[in-house]
Amino acid sequence: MGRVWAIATHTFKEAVRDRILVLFLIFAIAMMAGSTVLSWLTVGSELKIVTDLGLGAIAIFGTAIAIFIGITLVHKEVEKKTIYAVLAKPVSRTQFLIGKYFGLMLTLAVVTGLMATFYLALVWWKAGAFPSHLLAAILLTYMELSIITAVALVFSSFTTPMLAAVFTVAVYIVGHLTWGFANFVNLAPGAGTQYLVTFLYYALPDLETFNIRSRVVHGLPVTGGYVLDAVGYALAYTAGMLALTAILFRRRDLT
Amino acid sequence: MSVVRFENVAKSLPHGFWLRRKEVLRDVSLSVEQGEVYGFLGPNGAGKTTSLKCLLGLLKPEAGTVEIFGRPGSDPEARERLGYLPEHPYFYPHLTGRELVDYFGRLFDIPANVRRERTDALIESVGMTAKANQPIKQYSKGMLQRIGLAQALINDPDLLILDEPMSGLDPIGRREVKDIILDLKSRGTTIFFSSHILADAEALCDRVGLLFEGRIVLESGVDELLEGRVEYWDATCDDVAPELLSEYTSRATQGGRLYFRISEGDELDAWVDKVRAAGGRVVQVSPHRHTLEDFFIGAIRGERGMDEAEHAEDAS
Amino acid sequence: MTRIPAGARDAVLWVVLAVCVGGWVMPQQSIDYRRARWVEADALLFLPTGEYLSAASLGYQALVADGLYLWSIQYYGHQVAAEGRRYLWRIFDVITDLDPYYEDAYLTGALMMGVDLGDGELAIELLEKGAAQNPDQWIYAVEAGYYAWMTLDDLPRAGAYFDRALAVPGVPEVIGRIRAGMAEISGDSRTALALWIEIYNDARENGDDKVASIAWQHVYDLKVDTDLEDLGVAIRRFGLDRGGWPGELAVLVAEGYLDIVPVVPTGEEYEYNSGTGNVVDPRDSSSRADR
Repeated sequence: MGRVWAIATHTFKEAVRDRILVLFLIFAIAMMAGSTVLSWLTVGSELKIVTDLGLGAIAIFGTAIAIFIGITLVHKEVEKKTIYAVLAKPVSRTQFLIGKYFGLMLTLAVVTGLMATFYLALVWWKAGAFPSHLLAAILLTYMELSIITAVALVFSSFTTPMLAAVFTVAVYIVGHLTWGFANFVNLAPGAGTQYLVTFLYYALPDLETFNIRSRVVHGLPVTGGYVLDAVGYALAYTAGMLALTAILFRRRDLT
Repeated sequence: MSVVRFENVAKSLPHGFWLRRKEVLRDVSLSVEQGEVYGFLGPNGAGKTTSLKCLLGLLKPEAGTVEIFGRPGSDPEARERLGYLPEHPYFYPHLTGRELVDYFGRLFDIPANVRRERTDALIESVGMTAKANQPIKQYSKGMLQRIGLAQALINDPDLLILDEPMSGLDPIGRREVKDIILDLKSRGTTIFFSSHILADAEALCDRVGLLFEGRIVLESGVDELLEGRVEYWDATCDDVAPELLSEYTSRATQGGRLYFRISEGDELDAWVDKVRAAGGRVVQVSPHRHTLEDFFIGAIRGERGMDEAEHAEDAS
Repeated sequence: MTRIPAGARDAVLWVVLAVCVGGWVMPQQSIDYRRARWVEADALLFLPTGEYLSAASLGYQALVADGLYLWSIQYYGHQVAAEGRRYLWRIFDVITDLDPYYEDAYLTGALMMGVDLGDGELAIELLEKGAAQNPDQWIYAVEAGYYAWMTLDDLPRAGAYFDRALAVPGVPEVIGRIRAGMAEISGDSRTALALWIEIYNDARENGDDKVASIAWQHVYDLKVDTDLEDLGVAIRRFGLDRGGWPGELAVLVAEGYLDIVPVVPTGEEYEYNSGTGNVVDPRDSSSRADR
């Protein structure tokens, strides 16, 4: 839809202008470049260190950007009251949110793309061949970012930026620990707790799904089927979070 | 069908540190008809902006209905033919004025070439052609107001909603805005604006509504209100001995000039005759009519008086 | 956009949310299935060393140790390939490097390696590490003793571990009894007797009548056993030397084959049959049955 796209491109332009973004990007690239120096300290695993660190940097900085911008996205508009002029147009709140989200994902795509390009070039140089096996890892990292951004959006639609950031980080941490829940289910005392744990297991995002870094770095196979499942999961989860955000945001009084 | 309709609208908002619900709008009912300029007036804090936000779907009323062109305020489609200028407009600081107007134009799905033409024309008409390509963060208050007006008109709206359109403008700016409003009116646009400056309303509006403590306490055509009798006359004369006119209320004396306040039209005729008979000169006679301010303060006092009477009843 | 009437929009959003939930639960299950079939052992191969992790934990070593421990339990639960078990040592070595005081980790790791894997040596090695890091904790030596006993069938070694445990202050007294019992089972009656006497004396000193009576029972039985053994040896030597059984037990002392004539702890004499050369515990003798 034209209107949603207009909001998305506008959001992209606004986000890109934020200097914090550039700062994070520089840090990520510096970290990757620095990994080559670090690798001199080890014997024989130079390539592994560079590969490991680079993927980690993309994930960490991508997450930081996603949380930071995801939270300030809606909040800034409401805080600065620019949102009044926008919502006075024939644009529904849902369209507004979707546009904002796409704008942010566009920004993240550019940022991730830049980091990935530098990273892949670096690895290519070190390894002598183009590391096509790393592409899947980068793709799944991006899908993870899409979930985190959506979660950030949910929280920022009804609490202050500070709390929203705290909650999002909490979900991020727990999301990486959900593999443990599957075990808890069997150990939980009583059916009630079992249902609760199962519910939480499915309700919270399983972010470890997107962490195929260690496999990919060691050249272990990741099937196309797995990648499809992971992407499907991310898309469904993200869409669900956006629907939830819309429900919450539509109720909100914009005083 | 009224262009704008409020019917028994009530709304409370969280207020103060404990965020207790405070009733802002109690029972607001008004209507704006096609082609008229309606002044939505009231003291600061009466709830004018809250009402406008209910109109635009930014707030949901707890009771009553709000409609634009017959559609509920929360329906985005109702806003297709609408233009809105917020109070204290704040727009994206990194965009230029032109980019802003263009962006909002895109939100109406206006095709690119039409958008470009209109943007140029509107920027011209608000006198911002020179500054249109500067980033908004460099704009003064007056410039913000003007570019705000431009974005409000980008879709050539049938209904224009302005929240305190004259605030922060210098006399030139105020004049320009007035001219724009009158021009729009002549082209059939309905205009609904809120203000606490009664003089502006007097000059521009066909009808006015006074919001006080969450209710419309007075709604009427401006002409009806003002076309009343003359309250009193200011009469000034020269070269007459004061004793001769002692039966009239004297306001001041300056040199040989005497200033009087005369309440009845008949008395005025008598006064003129007396002055001339005494060989004096009538310098000036001017009627003093009720202003909107008088009516409104009266209405407010009436409300307050009613409240006091109620309290007195409860107490006794 | 699509002309959904404003009133229905909320309902539409709820429906979308519900559909999405289904849309993510299904892939989740597929993902779980796939992940379980990945060979997990490789993850362990690439577990960083304890020192690296320790540094990388940025001060949160105990927390990382906890996380690794939890992961190892789950890993253990999902065990796929047998080779994976070999790397159990690796995991627990790292965990205990990160948190040397992590008792559960030592004990559970030893359990997995000692019982499930059947490798008592590995279990003991881990417990030795635990003991070295926690010299004031008696549990490590006790557990090591058990593995030596149950898994390695090495009673003397087990006994040695239990002795070590007994040297640690705060060790529960029951360990002493177990040690003594272990000595009995291994047939080392004299050590057992010495231990039980000590236990008996300590119990009397502490006024612990229950333990004292248990100990007394063991002391009695063991003394009888050792006495009978001593008497038997002396009598046979006499017989070999003199070609006949001694007339009475006192003769053995007189002839230097015994220091004293032992008596039952209650003071009764042993019954000696000079015709057969047999000595019997007075409690067992047939004459008693007549009474």
